[in-house]
Formats: sequence, C-alpha cells, structure tokens
Amino acid sequence: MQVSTMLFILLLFIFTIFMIYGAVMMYHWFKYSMSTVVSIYASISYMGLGFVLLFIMLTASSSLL
Amino acid sequence: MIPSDFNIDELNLQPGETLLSVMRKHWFVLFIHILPFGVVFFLPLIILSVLSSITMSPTQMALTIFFSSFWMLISLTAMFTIWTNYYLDLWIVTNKRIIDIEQKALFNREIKTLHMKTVQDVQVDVVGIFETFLKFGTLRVQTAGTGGTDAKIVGIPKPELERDIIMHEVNLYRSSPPTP
Repeated sequence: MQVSTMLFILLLFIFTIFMIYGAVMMYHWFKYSMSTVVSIYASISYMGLGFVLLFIMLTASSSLL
Repeated sequence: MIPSDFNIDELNLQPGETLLSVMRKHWFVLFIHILPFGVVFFLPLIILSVLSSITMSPTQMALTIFFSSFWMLISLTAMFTIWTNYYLDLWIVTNKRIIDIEQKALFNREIKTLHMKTVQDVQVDVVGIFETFLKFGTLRVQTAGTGGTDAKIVGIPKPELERDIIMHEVNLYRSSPPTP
C-alpha cells in the first residue's frame, strides 16, 4: 500500500472522529451555555480551525500522489 | 456581577426570586489549565522551522506536515474541551438559593442547589501568591443537617464579595423567614 493511500485512510478516520467530537462539543455549547452568541463563536472557531488543519493534512497527503 | 452574555430567561427563576450574582471561575484558572496545551499546540511549528534547514525528501516533508497538523488538531481539541469545562461551570446566587453547576467533563455535569435557609457557614480560602494578587480563591458553603450537601467553587473572583452577598441573604432569611 502506498504512503499516500495510508495517509488518506488515516485522514478519513481523523475527519470522522473530529466531526463526532465537534458535534458533541457543539451539543454542550448550545444546550448548556447561557448565551447563543458565544456558542456560535465557539463553534465557528473550533470547526474553522479544525477544517484548516484538516485541509493542510489533505494537501500534504495529495502531494505524495 | 452578572456576565453581559448571560441570558436570564434560560434560568427558570421561581416567583419572587431575583438573580444576585452569576460567577465563572477566574480567567487565571483557565489560563493555567490551557497553557500546557497552548505550548504543545505551537511545538510542531517550532520543530518545522528547525527542520526547514535540514534537507528532506518530499515524502518526509509531507509526513512531517501531516503529523504536525494532526498534533495541532489534538491540542486544539484539548484546549476547546478545557474551555468548555470552564465556560459551563457556573455559580449562581439568587435571593432564595445557590446553584452550583459543575461541568466535570463532557457528559459529566453536576448541579447542586442549596437553599438559603439551610446555609450555615460560608468560608473563603485565598492561598498563594497568584490568588492573593489576582484576587480569587475558593468559596465553601456549608449547609445544615447530616444529609446536607456542601458546595465548593475553586478559583472564584472576589470570593469575599460573594461571601458577603450570600451572608447578607442568609441574615435576611434568619431575621424574617418567608412564609410558605
């Protein structure tokens, strides 16, 4: 198996975990926070930064193709 | 004493109940918990800047960038988890009760309600240099009865002021207990 294929499989796994964990955290923010605005800011920050990092990982994996 | 982002409607106040204080832990408590993960978050950037002077093959470079980003993603998640536990921890004081909401972890939330009429003693502990100069500490509320639950909040800003608010309400209750 090629290194790039392994990285893509690993990236898919990381992406799945990230999305599940992100959903869990957003559930907590929106359910228990006393401010919707803060929940929205937190969600945008976490998911935004996470997607940037995931995109960098995708670019690194693609460069090996 | 009530944060500007706090939505009172979310708190189901009883008739005749007024909100006196809503407190989160001091920012320094969050800072101390988040600092190690903040350092860990930027560690790959430092390593990458050092490695940039070393000649690496494209595969090695791609693997380094991939796992550095993965490392940063884990650190980011840890920091947001710590912030969530900090942000959802609340200490609410009304004229009738004290509500201690403690978010211990995700899916581990403890809510204690102490009625003013059961409060026996309020203790403030300010220990150490940081707590003294940054004006935060631990507040303990002891209630009457063997089965009574005590509440404690660590790292609350201006604990003396919070103690005064609680004791003022307790004294009001003792001097004129409300009719049921």
